[in-house]
Amino acid sequence: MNRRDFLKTTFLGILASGAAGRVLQAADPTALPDLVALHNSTPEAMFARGMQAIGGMERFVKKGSTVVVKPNIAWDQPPEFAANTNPELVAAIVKSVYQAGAASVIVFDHSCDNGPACYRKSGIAEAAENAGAKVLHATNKKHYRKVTIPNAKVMSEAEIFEAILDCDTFINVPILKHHGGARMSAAMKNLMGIVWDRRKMHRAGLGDSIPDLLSFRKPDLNILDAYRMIMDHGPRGGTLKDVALGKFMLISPDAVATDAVAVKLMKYKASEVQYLIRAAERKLGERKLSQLKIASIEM
Amino acid sequence: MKIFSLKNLGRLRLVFSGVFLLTFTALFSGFIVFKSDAFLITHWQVMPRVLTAVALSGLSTISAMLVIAMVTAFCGRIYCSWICPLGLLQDLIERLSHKISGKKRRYRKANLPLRLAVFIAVAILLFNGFILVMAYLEPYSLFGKIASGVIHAVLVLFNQSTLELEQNGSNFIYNATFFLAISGGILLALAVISAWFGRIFCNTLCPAGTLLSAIAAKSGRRLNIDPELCVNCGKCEQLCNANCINAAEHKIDFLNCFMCLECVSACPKNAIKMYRRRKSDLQNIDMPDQQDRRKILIAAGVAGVSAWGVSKLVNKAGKVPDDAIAPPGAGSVEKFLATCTGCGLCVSNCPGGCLQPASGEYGWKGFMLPTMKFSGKTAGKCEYECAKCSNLCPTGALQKLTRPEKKRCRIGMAYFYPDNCLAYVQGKSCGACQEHCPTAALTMIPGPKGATIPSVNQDLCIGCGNCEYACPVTPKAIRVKGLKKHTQAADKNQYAEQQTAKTPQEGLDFLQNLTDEE
Repeated sequence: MNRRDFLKTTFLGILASGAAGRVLQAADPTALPDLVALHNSTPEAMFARGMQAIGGMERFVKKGSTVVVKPNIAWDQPPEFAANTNPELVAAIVKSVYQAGAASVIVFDHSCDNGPACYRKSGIAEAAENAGAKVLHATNKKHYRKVTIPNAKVMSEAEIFEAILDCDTFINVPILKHHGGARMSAAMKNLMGIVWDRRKMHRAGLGDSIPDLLSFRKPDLNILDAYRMIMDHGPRGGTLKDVALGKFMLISPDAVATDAVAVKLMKYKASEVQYLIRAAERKLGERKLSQLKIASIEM
Repeated sequence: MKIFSLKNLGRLRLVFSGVFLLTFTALFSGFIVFKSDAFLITHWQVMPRVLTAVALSGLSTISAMLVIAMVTAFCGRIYCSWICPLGLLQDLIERLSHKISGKKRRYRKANLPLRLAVFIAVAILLFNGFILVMAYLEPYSLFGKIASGVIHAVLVLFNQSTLELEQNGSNFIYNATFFLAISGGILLALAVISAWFGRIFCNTLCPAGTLLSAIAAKSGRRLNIDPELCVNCGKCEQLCNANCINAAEHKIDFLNCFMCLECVSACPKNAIKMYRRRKSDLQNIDMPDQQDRRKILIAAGVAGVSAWGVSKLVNKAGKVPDDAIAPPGAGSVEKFLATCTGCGLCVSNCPGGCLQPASGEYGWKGFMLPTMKFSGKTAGKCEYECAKCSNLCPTGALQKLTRPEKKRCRIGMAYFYPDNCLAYVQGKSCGACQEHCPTAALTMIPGPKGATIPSVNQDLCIGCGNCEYACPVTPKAIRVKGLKKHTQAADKNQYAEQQTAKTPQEGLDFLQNLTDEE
């Protein structure tokens, strides 16, 4: 090979590998971050920026599909008390899901307090409806279907809200807060709002029943609202003293990874959150932060 | 033709009472959920007004009662056929049964001695703390029991797709079989009595009826038959379900007449008219003669003495359990049991579903009066942000509480039973009790097996039962015991101010040096 040929092939090789790299980056999700952490802006702005970084809503929502957006609407409390997910964020997600081409968006939660009161006071029902979502009440057992959980450790059967069973994409939109029993409520804990009988989960111990539920249906995307955070007396809170303005957001397809970083936001140790450790042990997600590709965005 | 002719009034009465009955049914069956006060409807009921006056020991609250009394003194027992829901229900049943059987109604002489004896016995029993006689004789409360027990149960069973029921879902399905059995029994008994004997309940047993009859005896205007015009066709007597028209003698017993005005409409000769009392002579009414009066006196005396004796004797056996839980606004269990007639309005409008008719929670003296049930198959919880029951109560048994007042109104106290607790005994991560506690009275502290266990701050606990309701084990590891006298809890916001706030991360810098913990 003469020098000319060498230069030619090298040049072409570089060009080709560069092009291939580009193509790879666009097609291969491994090139995208596993988790996007955002800080210091409004929930809507952080959501918009974060979705861009994680590959856009189109990555998760197919045209003409049915999407469930499941916020935390557990308590009869207004938004500033941070017991429920931020209503503006829910509205922004609903709009974005429609823009991605979804045919219908469903919003619901199995509230702890009186359902209609929670839907009203949280501001979520109104915000979601204005954004075009179908808001479903989850206070009637007939809307739940019994399922078996194949690899369950403690909860082999559960009644799951039918919209979750029937949807194409499940977007989990929890709010981050302190929890007296489970230590922390974030992405995985929010799944308890899709089951009818929560007492059964408590009875079985949240440490194992929450991973069981996750093993049945992993959310396709987790958008953790940590704009306002209940730091004590969670998950219900009830005094503004317990609410901190954290201005964070985490976005990830991996609920375990979301909770693993959420633990850090709360300044807890992962070992304090039993369900997180056990879910990771069962390979339901990645909790080792060194294994995660995290995009950190200060705004 | 005059617009306000008696005949037109009779038609108006049908419309008026029909609307009233429907609204009442909707209100009691939980079909319509009233946001706060049902004042316009419940305020015009005789016995609830009288009881409110007793409960609040003042005249200011009985203005509606004064209006009803004045109307009665003017033209008779309008209340009984225009407003009283139980009266309307009996009318429906009675008219239906007569339509089917084709039976003709006949005049029946009122049994005044029995009626007075019942009234005196009721008054004395009530005075001695037997609210149950009111609960099972007072028409408004009886109707409430039927509507919230039977109609409501049927609605829940067959019409769950109705929006409000759908939204509130399971919270509405309380204690159904027990309540349905009792209320169904009441409805059945009432149906049989009214189908066979017309509105004999109203003219013998009903305390409101007797009270209004006493006023109506002196009313300024009354219906009577004009003997000059009457052709003795007997249509009026055959139509009168109060059985108070004696057509042959051209008499209307005005003590028993409800002013339903059916006879006026039916009379082909317009012979039934309103008369001033002075003009219509008294013998047109069946007034008791000398012999009757002696009977009445004896009956009243016997009833009074025996009611007194019975109530004194049985009172000793009617001990109310120490941990009975009266709803917020009751003030004390004792006061509640003296004024609540168990109409069930609060029960069918409780969004938390915890207000339910008591079986033995108050002892037998409070049978079917509403109590708070936080445990058991049909349990509910007291919604923290709600004060509906106290604002709906028509008898003054529950006094109005604003929402801030209710949030600190302590009706009981939560106690932790560690031997039942999964976190304490088995180290399972749970915290359902603390999760649901709306007052921050519960905090989680380290337990012996690694999982956190609850600890009750007695200053903040109001006994709302959210913890007991949420507790996943049976028997419950946290239980509310009622307070005999309700008190005020500390302000949770002031409490919170004394604590140091915990803070989260300040930015994302922590992501730069991550280590995997094991």
